[in-house]
Amino acid sequence: MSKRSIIEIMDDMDRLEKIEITDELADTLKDYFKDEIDSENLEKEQNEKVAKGLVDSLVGLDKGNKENGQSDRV
Amino acid sequence: MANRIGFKEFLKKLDKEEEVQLIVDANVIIAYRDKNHKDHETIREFFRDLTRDAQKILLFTTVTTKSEFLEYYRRKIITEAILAIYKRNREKQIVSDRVKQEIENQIRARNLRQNREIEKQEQFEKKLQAQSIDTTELDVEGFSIDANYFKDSEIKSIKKAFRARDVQEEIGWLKICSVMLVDRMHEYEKLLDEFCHYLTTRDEVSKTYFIKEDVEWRKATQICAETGMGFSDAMILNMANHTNIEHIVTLDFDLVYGGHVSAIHKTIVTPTDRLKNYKNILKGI
Repeated sequence: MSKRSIIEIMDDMDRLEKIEITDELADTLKDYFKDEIDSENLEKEQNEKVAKGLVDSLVGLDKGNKENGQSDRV
Repeated sequence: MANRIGFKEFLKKLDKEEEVQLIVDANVIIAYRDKNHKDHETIREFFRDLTRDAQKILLFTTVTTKSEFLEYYRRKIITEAILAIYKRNREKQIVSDRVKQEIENQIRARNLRQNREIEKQEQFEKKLQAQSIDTTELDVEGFSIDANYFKDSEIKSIKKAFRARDVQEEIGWLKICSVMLVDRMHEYEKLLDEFCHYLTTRDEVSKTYFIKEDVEWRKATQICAETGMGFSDAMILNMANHTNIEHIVTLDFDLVYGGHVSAIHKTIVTPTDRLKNYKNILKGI
């Protein structure tokens, strides 16, 4: 083995260790997971709606309806 | 006479006119490659001085070492690729939340392992300092690939998570492998083949150093059992014993210890500052 080659080999190995996510790989993954991502987003939206509905339904619960003879609850 | 020598002493004794033959252990190649390895600088310096001083260098290793090294490289590349995907996903979503969650779980497991190793080392150093022992002179802890890279079980968990729901064709994980691993692994293997010769009687260069034509594989079992060393290390000593190559370079205490018992005609080359620590343990062997 020549003197230069150890250094050269190590330089080549350095080059091979550089990791980069190419746009092509990112696009492939995005397409591959598209349906799952959409479904998760839909699920998230529904959960948010349910949560919001729950909050809305709770708003005003601490106020009594005087017409019905209820008093304000603390 | 002890059959071990420090890097510095080895380089000093080097006959600059002669060809140098060295059998290298997997940890030497990994330390040379990995910036996180605690002996990275030591090994780089050793090879830098060696290439400066020696006329011709021939490196040898076993095929088991080759597989150990390629396994290390696989885990390193997969870990870095997964972390890069995770970072990219933070900028713009490319994987599902389920996959993201699984990656986060495994990152957490790896980070815990790293923290544990750091704590362990700090506690040990404190203990030694309390005894007024200079910790800079001690081989406190070996490099652990586990601390930095995903373990095989963690890679498997991520791999399983990468299977998208309701998609017929599996292209997620396979695409990562095809882009990140396939060419790299082949090129890396070629470079490793260039870096060193494998100790087999079929290798054109190696076979000229063999003193016995038939390799007695079972002797590796005997070597392994004699000192309870790892089988991969035992394979190195066994192959070394089949050749007239004198020097074995390692960072592993077990190979130094085992070499004293099972490869008495070989000389183990290891970092100079470590030899002091081995003196007491190797007394009487």
